[in-house]
Amino acid sequence: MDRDDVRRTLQYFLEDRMKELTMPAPRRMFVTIGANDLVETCRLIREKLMINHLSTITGLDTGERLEALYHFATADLVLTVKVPLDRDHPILPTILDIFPAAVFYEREIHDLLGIHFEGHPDLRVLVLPEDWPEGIYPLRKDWKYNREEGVIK
Amino acid sequence: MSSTFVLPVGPQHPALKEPTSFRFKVDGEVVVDADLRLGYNHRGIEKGAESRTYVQDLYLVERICGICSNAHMTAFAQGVEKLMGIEPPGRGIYIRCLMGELERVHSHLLWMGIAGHEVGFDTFFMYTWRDREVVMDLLEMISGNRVNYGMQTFGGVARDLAPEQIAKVVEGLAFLKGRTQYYLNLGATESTLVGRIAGVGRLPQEKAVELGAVGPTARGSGVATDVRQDDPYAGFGEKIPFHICTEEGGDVLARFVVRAKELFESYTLCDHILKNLPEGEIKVKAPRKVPPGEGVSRVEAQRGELIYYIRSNGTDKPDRVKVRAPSLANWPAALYMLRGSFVADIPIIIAANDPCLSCTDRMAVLTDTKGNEKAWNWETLRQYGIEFYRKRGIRFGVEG
Repeated sequence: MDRDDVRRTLQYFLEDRMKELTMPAPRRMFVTIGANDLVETCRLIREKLMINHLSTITGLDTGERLEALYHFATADLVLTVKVPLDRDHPILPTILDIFPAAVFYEREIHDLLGIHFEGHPDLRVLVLPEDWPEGIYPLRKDWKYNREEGVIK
Repeated sequence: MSSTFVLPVGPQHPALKEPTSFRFKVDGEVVVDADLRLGYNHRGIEKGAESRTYVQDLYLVERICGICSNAHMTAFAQGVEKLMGIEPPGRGIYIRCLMGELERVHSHLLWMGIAGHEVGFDTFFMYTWRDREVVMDLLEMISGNRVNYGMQTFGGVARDLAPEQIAKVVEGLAFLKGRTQYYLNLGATESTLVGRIAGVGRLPQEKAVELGAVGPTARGSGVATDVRQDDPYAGFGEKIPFHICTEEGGDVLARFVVRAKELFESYTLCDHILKNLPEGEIKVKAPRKVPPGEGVSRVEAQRGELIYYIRSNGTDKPDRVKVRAPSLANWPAALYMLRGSFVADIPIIIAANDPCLSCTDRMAVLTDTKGNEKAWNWETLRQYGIEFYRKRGIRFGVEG
């Protein structure tokens, strides 16, 4: 399936639920959807577009909202699905049953940005220290690290 | 009747000298379940990148990993170049590819030695690491450094290649080619080595795809994925022809053979690059500020697909830099391989993925101020360094 087929298939199945589709480079496609359509879109990508490699999930904080970006890779395209999220209630459905490779990516974003993945069976801390305070998410823009001065004796 | 208990392994773990923590549920000698805890090497690099300029970040991301420093630098540089709208000149691109392939050679030789060590074949470890010095010397000759070469820059590469350097690279690679043939024969035919790695750490093709495995791990299970082919960057594709190496076995032996074949492919690529090296500039001038935009940059690092997501906001500092190194992508597959394996095979199965924990962990903060007497601040550390060298008769310029 080539790039035009991917674009047409997404447009056909998602219709106006696909809020934006851009191609800034020949091998790069960015698609914006809502959180409610994520599972359906991922199923579409896996079953209709036959894309089976999830490269990673990027989580980011723009200051006003959070975003999750799912990067899918094929032999001639990187398809990025962008999901904007409310900063106060960042909840996404897990896509583990469609892409099991997401297991650590979702946990990492849960640790660092506080996005909750509904249905993920195991959201224990993965990368932060065990004594890290709850509700503090270091990758959010309002979190600043102030290095404490070391003690010299 | 069977009973299981939990065997904790790590954070100081059995494969590489880097920290990660496992919990193996074992029934006698058989691993029933495996769990993983990461984060012991988290350094806050993604967060740190947001408060530094692009040029500072270039050298920051290089330090994510010592082994694939050039791959990180290349991925970041080419991602930012796209956002800047600049294109490196031909010679710069060729030297960029050459550095990537030489780095792959040193990394694969290093991996072979580690694999030999993990299965108790330390002679092999000594051989490969001795030969690896040849390519380390070449890298040092070209860049001035054994690790963290600092060769990539926005708009090209930092140093040019002299004709006598090219001659030395050709000579060194010819030697390594002979040695690699010996290793491949050894790995594929030597009965004790084959007996130790064949059938160990099985990963069927459909599982490799499902669990998102990348690099030699995926290619050893017959998945024909390589960023150099799928998403040609720098000069790969049209200018520098590339052939993908796969094996069907899906075990540690297959991963060994894939890496040996990739060494030959790298020698061929280097040969092609040096024979067809264009004349001219090695870099173009890059702007300090990057216009707003976002981009995904991918590179085939030694361990597999390395992906960067970069978002710029019009200033000289990025809004977000996301790094997914290949080691993290291979952990779900590693846990799958470990289930059902023998306890004695744990080290080689983990090592067969060539995991890099510095790559896996990128972002945490060291807060070592709980009355630890050894917690030094920067100034104390600096003074200690100056004193250390002064006692040995070396004086720094700053002291006048």
